Amino acid sequence: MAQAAKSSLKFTILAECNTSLARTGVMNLPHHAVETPVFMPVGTQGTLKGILPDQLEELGYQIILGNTYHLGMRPGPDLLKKAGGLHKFMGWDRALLTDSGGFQMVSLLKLAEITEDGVKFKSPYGADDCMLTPEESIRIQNAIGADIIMQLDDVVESTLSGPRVEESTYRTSRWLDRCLSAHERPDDQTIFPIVQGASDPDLRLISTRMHMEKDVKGFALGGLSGGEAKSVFWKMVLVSTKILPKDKPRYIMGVGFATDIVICCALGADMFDCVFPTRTARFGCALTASGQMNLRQKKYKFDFQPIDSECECLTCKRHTRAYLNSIVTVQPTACHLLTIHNLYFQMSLMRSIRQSIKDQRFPEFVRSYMNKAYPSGKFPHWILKSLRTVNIDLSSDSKS
Amino acid sequence: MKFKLHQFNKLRGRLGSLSDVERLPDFSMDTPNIFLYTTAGCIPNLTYDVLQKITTNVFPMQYPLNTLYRITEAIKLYKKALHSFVGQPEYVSYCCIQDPLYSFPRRKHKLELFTLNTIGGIEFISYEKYMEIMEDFQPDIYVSPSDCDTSIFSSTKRTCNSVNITNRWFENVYKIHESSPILKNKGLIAAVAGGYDLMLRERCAKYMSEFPVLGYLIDGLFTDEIAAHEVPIDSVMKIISHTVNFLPEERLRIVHGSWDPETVLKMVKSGIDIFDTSFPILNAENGRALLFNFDVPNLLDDDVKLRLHGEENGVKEETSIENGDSDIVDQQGSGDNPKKFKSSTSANRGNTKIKCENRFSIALKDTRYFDDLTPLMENCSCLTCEKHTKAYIHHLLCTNELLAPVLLTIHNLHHYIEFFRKIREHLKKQL
Repeated sequence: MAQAAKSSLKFTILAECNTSLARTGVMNLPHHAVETPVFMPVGTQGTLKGILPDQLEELGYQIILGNTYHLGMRPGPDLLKKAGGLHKFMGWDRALLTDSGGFQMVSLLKLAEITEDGVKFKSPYGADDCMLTPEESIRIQNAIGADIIMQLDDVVESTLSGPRVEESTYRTSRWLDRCLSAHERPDDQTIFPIVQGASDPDLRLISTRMHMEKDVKGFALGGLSGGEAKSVFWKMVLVSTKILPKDKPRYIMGVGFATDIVICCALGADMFDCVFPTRTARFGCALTASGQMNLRQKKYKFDFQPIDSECECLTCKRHTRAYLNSIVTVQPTACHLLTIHNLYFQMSLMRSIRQSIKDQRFPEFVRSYMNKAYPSGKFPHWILKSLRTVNIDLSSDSKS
Repeated sequence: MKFKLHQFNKLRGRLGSLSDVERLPDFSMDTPNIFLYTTAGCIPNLTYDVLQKITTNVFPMQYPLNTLYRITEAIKLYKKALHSFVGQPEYVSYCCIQDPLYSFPRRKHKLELFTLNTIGGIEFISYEKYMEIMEDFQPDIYVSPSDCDTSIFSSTKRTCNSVNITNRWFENVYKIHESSPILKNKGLIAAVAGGYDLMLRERCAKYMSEFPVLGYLIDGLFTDEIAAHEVPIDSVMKIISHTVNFLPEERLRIVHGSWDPETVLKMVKSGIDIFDTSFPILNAENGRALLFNFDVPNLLDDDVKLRLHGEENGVKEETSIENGDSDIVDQQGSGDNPKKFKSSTSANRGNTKIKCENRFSIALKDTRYFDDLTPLMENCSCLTCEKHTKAYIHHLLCTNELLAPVLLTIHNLHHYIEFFRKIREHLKKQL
C-alpha cells in the first residue's frame, strides 16, 4: 500500500490475544503516538483538575479529552482559534480528543430539545436559545483542533426502548454524513462515528453496519455506561466489536471503572474515557486493586501505610493514609495527591493489560485481576458470562 | 543549627547564613531569605513534584501548629518527626504557633494558656503541653510558646499582659529545652512580644536577649483580625527598628506575615533575616500574579517605589473584576465539579476571607486578560511563564479550575525567591 502523505490516524496492531478478542496496538495521531488499549482522562475545560500538563506526561499519558460543550462556551472557539487551538492554549503537546457536546447537552440541560436539525438548548451564560447542529459541533471542534473529534450523535438513555431509539439510531447516521461533509481539517483531525441503539442489539447492529460503510478511521460506541444493566452492557459492546473491522480502533465512551475496562478489552475494545478516577479523587477516594479507599474515614487516622504499599506513584512513595486523612477535602493539595495516585492506578492497569496481551498471557492477567477485585471468589454473573463468551474461564483451575 | 552573621550595617541590613542542621548536614542557606509557608503540612496547591519544578533549593518549611493540631496524636504514635509525617523529610522544619494567613473571629483569653485557632475550633494550650508536642514533632527549628496574640488594635493592658506572660513562660521553656534530649540540639527561636508599644517591646527584647537562643521572632505584630499587609507601614517599621536595637546582632531575626514587598525591603534594611512566603501564596489564592519589578538599581534606597513590570509602557492595573468574586476554588457551574469540595482555601481558614488587593500584583480574572496570549511576565523563567498565558489563567479562574492557583503559586513563589536573591545581591554590593 502506498504511503499516504499525511494521515490523521494510523492504527497498527502489535499483538492479539490468542484466546479472547483483546488486542494491543499503536495509534499514530498528528500530535502523538498512543498505545492501546488506552484510558483517556477527562480534562473538561482545557485542564485536568489541578494537574499540570508536565505531570500528565510524567505519568505517561499520551492522550486526554476535552469537552466541546464546555470549551465552546468558555473560552469559546474564537479565542481557541486565535491561540492556535486547544493544544497551544492549554500547553499540552500530546494528543487530544474532543466529544461532540451532544452528551453534555442532554445530560446537563434538561430543557434541551432535539430536532432533525440539531440540539436546541438554553445557554447557561445567557438568555438566548442556542442550537447545536452537527455542522456547528464540527466547526467548534475544528477550532479546538483535537486529533480525534466526535460526530454529533442523537443520544438517548440506554434504558429507553421503542420508536425514539430507532429514530436516534438512524438520525445519528444522518448526522454523521452532515459532520463528515462539514469537516474542514481532515488532514489533521479525524472524525469518529458513534454507534447508538440504546440496549437494542438489532439497532446496534444496524448502527454499526451503517457506520462501517463510511470513510472513517475509527469507531465509538456511545450511549453505554448510562445505567443499563451490566448484563446488557457487555452484550451491546460485543455486538459491535464482533463485526467492526479489526484494523480500526474502537472507543467505548464513558467507561472507566477498572473492571469494566478489563472486560471491554477482552471484548476487543481499544479506547476508554471517564471522569470517575479524577472526580472520586476530589471526594477523597483512592483507587486500589481491591476497590475504592475513602480516606476521609476515621479508621485511617492512625494508619501509617501508604494507600497501596506496592504502588510506585509519587503520593504512595511520600505520604501515609494518616496524613492524607488529615487533609482530604480540606486542602486542594490533597486532591492533587489523590488525583496523581488515581491517574497512576489507571495508567498501570492499562500498561499491564497491554503487556499481558503482548506476552500472550492476557487470560492469566484477567484471572489474577478478578481474584484481587473479588477476593471472596464470588464473581458477578455478567463477568463470568462475558468472559466465557471470549473463552476466558475464571474457574479454569477446577474445570476447563 | 547555626546562624552566622557575615556582614552588617545598622541602617542597610545584614548578610548571613543558616547551616549545620544535625539531620541535614548539606543544608545551607544565605540570608535574608524566606521560609516556605505551609498550612496543614503542605504548601497550598503544591505537591512535592511541582515544588521541585519551582526550585530544588531546600528552603526551611514553616509549620504553624494551629493547622497541625488535629494530627498531634497521630504524629506521637508515628514516632517519627513531623517533617516525615507530612512527607517532606528533605526540608528543614520550622514550627511556629500561628498561621499568618489564618482568619478567625475574636476570642477570649485564658490565663496562663495560649490560644490556638485550629480547624476543629479553639484550643487552649499550656506551654508545657506545647513543649511535649515539640518533642513529638522534632522540628529542626521551633518558636518558643508565647502569648503574642496582639495587634495594632490591642489595648496597652492586653499587650502588657502578653509581655508579662511571655517572659515568665520563657524562663521555664528554656529549662525544658535545655534538659530535653530531643530538643536541646534543635534551634530555639524566642518569640518577642510587645504589640505596638515601644517600651514593652524593649522590655521583652532585653529579657529574651539574655538567653543563648538561635534567634528571635518579632511576634505580635498582627492577628487574624488584621492581616500583616493591612497594617500601616510606618507603625510596624517603628516597632521593628526599635526592637532590633535590643537583640544581639549575631542571632537570627524572623518576621512572619504577608507584608508587601516594599515593607519587606524596609524590614531587610532594619536587620530582619527571615520572612515567610504568605504574601505570594495569599496572592495566588486570590487569583493574583506578583509582577512587581525588583530589577531596579535603587532597590535598597529609602524612597524606592516598586512598579509593575510593563507599567512603564503605560499598562495600568485596575482592580475591577468581572463577576466581582475572586473565590477561586468555588466549585459551581461545570457538571464535572463536585459540590462537596469546600469552597475556598481562605474560607477554610475560618469565616473571614483575607482580601489582598495590592499594587504589586495583577488580578487575572480581569476581563482585559480574556484574550491576552502573552505570559504573565516577559523574561520570567518559571514554568507558568514558559508554558502558559494570561488568557489561559483567566480562563481557569473564570471556570473555577484547580489549576489556576497552582500556576499562580508557581509564578508567585518563583518571583518571590528571585526577589530575595536580588536583595542579597544588592546587599553584597552595599555592605
